[in-house]
Amino acid sequence: MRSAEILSIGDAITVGFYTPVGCYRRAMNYSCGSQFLALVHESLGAGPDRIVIADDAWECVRAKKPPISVTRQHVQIAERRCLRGLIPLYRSRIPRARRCHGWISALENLLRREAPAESLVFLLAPRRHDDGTFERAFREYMSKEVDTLMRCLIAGLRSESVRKRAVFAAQRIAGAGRGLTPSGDDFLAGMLLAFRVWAAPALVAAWRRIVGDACRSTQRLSAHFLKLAAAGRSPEALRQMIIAMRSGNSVAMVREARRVLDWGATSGADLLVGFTLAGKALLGSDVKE
Amino acid sequence: MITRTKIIKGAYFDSVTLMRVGREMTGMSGVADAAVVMGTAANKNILKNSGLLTRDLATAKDADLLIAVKARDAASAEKALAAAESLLKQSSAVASETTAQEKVSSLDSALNILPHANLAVISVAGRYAGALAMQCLQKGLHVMLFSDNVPLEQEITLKKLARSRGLLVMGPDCGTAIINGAPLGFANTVRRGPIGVVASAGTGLQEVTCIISNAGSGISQAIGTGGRDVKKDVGGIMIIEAVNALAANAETKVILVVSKPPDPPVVKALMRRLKQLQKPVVTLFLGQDTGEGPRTLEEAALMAVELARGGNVEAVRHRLAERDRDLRARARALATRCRRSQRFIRGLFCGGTFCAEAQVVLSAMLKAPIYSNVPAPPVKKLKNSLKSVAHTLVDFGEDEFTVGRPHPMIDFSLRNQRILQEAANPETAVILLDVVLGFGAHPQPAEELTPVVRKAARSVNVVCSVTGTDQDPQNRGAVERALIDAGAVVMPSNAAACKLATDVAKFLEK
Repeated sequence: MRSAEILSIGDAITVGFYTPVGCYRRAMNYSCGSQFLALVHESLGAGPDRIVIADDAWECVRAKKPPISVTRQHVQIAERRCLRGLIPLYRSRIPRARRCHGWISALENLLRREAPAESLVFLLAPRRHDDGTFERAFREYMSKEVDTLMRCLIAGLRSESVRKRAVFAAQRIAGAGRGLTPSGDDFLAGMLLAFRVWAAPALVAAWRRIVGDACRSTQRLSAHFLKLAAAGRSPEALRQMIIAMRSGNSVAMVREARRVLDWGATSGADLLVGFTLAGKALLGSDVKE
Repeated sequence: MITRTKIIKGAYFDSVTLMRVGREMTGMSGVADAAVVMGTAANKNILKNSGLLTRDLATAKDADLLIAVKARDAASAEKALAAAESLLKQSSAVASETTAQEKVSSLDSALNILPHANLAVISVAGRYAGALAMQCLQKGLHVMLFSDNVPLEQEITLKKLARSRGLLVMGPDCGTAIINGAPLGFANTVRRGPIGVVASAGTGLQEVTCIISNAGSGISQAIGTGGRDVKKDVGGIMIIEAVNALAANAETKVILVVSKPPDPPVVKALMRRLKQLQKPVVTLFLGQDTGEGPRTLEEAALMAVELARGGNVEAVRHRLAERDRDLRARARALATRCRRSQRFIRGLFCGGTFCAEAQVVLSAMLKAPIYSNVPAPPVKKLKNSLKSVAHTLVDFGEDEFTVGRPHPMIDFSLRNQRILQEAANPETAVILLDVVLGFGAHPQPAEELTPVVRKAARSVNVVCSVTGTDQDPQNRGAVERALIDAGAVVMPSNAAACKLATDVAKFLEK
């Protein structure tokens, strides 16, 4: 592995010796204690905890599933050691955007049209489903908890009872749903990122604490993603989407939103649903900060 | 009913796999309900709500995979559990066998998946688009360049290379095309038929293709060239190449060329080529007097339809003249609603071509000065685009309105505010609007627009045109009905809407 084959390294990756915990078609997850990183194919793009591998080298790396050693100066994948300074650093903090309702409605419309039916898009566009009682229970559960969380957001967190309700709802959302990162966690991550983009710093800090408490009720990997989102760190496509919003490039915004929708089976869609709902609430004039 | 469960330790699957397995189980004979989820506290709550939580599952850890099934008898439940395990095993086998090639990460990998593709649609940041378009041309692909901000020199190089290879470069900044019946970019679902269209403007192309389709004819190919193509620097390379392509296309019986006025050398070269064609051609350079030629998009589109039917274009002029007489009668009725102070038209457009067409219609019919943020002589420049003066026509698609927000075809908020502002102005007699449907446009324009139109229509005349077809995702008929119910007057084309508004203003001038 040459440094040229590592296309980027995320700025949230910490020093450690990482071993593989999961292997997928375009990504491999690694852990080192409570820390995680992901080795990903270039089509997934950069992220705060991602090391991006070029297409040419991907299959070879994926076949070996090598351990990864990260030091301050080097990244060692299998037997090859690369200087960190030669690898482009992905800076993952997302910028703040202007308050603009148009973007949120554009994003909402895109989700209604293109998000997978299995995702949390039903929170934006309720539809009649003829499926089993578990599915119904899941939708009812999520609708109720998300509704509570949004009400708390709009009401502000001045009273202790509202804060407690918000913590309880966030705890019940965390870990809800299927998959490696359950839909509820992706939703909360999207919410946190929306706070970072549109909310006042005091509100961001309060909600970070609330979701931080909720992290305890989900898996370690999901908790790691939530922590990154709480710190305002996001993978490249979402960051580019927000940058496109700031610059007013609607074509780029839609393109990047579609790249986010491509994450996982429903992860990207669930995250964007959280981002959109929180954005809608925050951009409403009645949100108390 | 009995409930059986299974816990698989440390197994991770994506959500679609788990949902699919759950559904397969639920569909099995004797099974009432089933679920496959990770053992988080929230999921245990949901299992409890749906009656699937057992004592075993309650003790499972976050990283455990939980399978639960409620069935008529033990045999059905066991069978469903075995099926779930088998499906999960298959799924992990498939996941490990699948290669990264299925996902497109580069032009080469896209061509590996679609080796017979002959057209690439490029929508990346302008600074990268030129190089990518060059790669596509070198691989023998036609290019639709949706991206803007491609340097002029690069555009010229690309188009010269494309011409030498017999390929098309549609764009840069080409928002609309319909190729072999497939709408690309901001396009509408139109009938297929004998008319081929070349246009340098996106909304102009949408308007003529929709009018043709709504008139019962259809489109063979609709090719956009991008606005800069008709300027002397580029020399109309692609407009001429597109005409050549339509001339060679067997399906195309009539060619329609629509553009804002090209630079004189381009007009000369284009006209020279058009005269050599064996097929009938209709040409519209919006705002440029071409003698006997059409003056509006509507007239050009209907002439093309008439020629495709083997008819005479004079019949179109006659029909439109009759329609214009009806419009005058209608305008008289609308003018009687106005108070003495209400005298002016306020045109608020999403499409640049519609704003240009409105300038052509208004300046031909009205004596009073007309102002716009994108004026074409004799229209005057609006000093402040946010404040109307006399007859004012505003293009909301201009950069001054789109920096930091989506295009007004997607985001109506700015124009909606302006509609209410103009409705409150005692000088406003008519608010003129365009509504563009189709792929890429607002999915529910009526929902956003009707509350504002209803409010505005109480004090002023609201005249709209809807560009689209009944086959569009938004359904033209439904949008028109909603606007009429809200109090708007809906015209079949932008030109007709402009003429009606102008007739109202003329009555009020008197």
